[in-house]
Amino acid sequence: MSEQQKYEPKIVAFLCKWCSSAGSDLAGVSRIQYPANATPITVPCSGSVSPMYILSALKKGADGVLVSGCHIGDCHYMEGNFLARRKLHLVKELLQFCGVEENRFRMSWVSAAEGAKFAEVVKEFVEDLRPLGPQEKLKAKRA
Amino acid sequence: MSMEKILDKARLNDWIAAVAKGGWEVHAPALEDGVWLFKPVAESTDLDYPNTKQPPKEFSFPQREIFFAFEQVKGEAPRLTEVKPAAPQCAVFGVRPCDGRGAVRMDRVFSDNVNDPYYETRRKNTAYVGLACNAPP
Amino acid sequence: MINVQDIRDTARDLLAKGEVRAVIGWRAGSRGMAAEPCVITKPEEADSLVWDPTCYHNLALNLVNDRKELRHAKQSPGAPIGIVAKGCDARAIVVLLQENYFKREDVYIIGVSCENSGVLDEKKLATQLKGFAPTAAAFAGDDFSVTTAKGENKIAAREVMADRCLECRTPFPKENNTALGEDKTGRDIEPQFAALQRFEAQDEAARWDFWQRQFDRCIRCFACRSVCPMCFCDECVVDSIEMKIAPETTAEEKANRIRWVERSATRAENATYHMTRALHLAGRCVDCGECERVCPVNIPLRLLNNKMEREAREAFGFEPGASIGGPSLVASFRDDDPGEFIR
Repeated sequence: MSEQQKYEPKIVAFLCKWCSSAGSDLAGVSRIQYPANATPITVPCSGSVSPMYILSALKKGADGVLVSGCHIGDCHYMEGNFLARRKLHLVKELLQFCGVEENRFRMSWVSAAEGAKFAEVVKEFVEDLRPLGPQEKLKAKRA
Repeated sequence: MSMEKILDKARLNDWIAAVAKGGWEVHAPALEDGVWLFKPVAESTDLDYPNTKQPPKEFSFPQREIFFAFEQVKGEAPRLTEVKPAAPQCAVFGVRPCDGRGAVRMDRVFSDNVNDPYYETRRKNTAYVGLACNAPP
Repeated sequence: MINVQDIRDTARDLLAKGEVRAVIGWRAGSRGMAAEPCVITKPEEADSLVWDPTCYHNLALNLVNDRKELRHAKQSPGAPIGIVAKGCDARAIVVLLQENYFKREDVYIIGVSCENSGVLDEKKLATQLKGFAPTAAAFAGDDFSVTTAKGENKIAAREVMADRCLECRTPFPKENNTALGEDKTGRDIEPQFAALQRFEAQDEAARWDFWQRQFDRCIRCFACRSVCPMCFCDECVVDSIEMKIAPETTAEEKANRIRWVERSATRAENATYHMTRALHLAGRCVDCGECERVCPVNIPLRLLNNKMEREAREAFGFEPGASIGGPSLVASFRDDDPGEFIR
């Protein structure tokens, strides 16, 4: 019988290919220690993240969802992150409105050079998610 | 030989409470946000209602159920286990004649000439307590 | 108060002169008191048009259906199509024009004002009438005149008008080719988003408790989607199943692609559906309230859409259905869009 294990939140992280995904790679290459709770999914641009990705992740049982892209003004596609900022504001507001905990959805701007920041973002996210416990509200019950 | 008994309307709740105590899950029409639905009740219910939004089909034929579970064992084919329906005994109060006839129609498809253990287990374990329509809308 | 004869004369005239190929309006329905949408093509049919408090349907839906039929038959519209439109309907038409669903010259808008009384909420009326079936309803000044077996009686509109009318800010069809009735913009019966504010006063746990009950009750009949003029996608994203798409993939195959939402009407799936729909309508929903009216299990859908509308207005200075020009909410941005929530 295994001993009581600490709850480890599962994070799904949509990372834009040009900045944040590269930033996460840099964190790895620099051997920065940070929690391994985030499953990265590379997307071409934070602006390409459809609200359905986030809802789908939550439906599949993600405890937290992170969307990270280039800093404002640095988007590889010029406007993508501006659109993401607007769209995902709406997603955040709607989730909260329905009673999903505010801390379960998060956005960040992480550039390709910010390996340390990426690690910090994930670390903070895990710490903020832990007290909330597993995400049950939007998780599909298969049984 | 069937024994017909007449229950005093005022004692309906006592009967429902007794059925519940006898190990049955009692369901009855309840008004939620302006919509009549079948809800589990512990004791009393008011049967003065038009009809539920949806028929009591869920008790014998739910929209979604699990037939099999499988276990993936490394190097072997997945192991299947059949999942028999839990089907607790359900007593559904307030079933209108139209919905009761609907249940009979369902039987024709799912149990008359076929052996559907999922449907039959649930159907056998569900008792519909009908309610006649004295003043149809 | 609008004289229904004016609506009929306008329609008859347009059809007789060939200025429109058809007129979308309301006629007496076959279900008791309520009117029903209709499409008339001959001048003499204009006499069947009605205008009463049961004209709550958003006729922009029929415009969308007309456009779809033309597209599938690969026909061009030819003459414009006329449409009798309330304030809310006209706003919906503006959104459709903004999205280039059709051209402005393709539609002739016969605006009608619901003046001070808005339209009827049949559920509220049923409660008021305590089970007596109404056989007719008419506008009576600022109120409604409702006929039952017991006779005709006047009911204060305030008590039985649709919730969306209570908060409506644009009861007059601003976009029109001709308009009937008085412009009662500013009638402001309740503050805008009043219902939304009341809901948000609750804490997170109460809000989830509420929505969880709604999502549990939803039977995924898609009446809300079917009645919404803005839900015009030929293939709704929630109807898709998984598939690879290649240049030669047909539209029909594409209609069966990635399954974002399962079919069973369970809580998580229903929640995903409703939230997705609200987000897809952000900046496009004009609060015509039809989705909430047609829901068979009384889910207060306006709350979700109003939440998005208020964010559009307050956070992004965007008003749905206000102007035909300009980009949509989610295809545009401002430099000062809120961003403090981004780490």
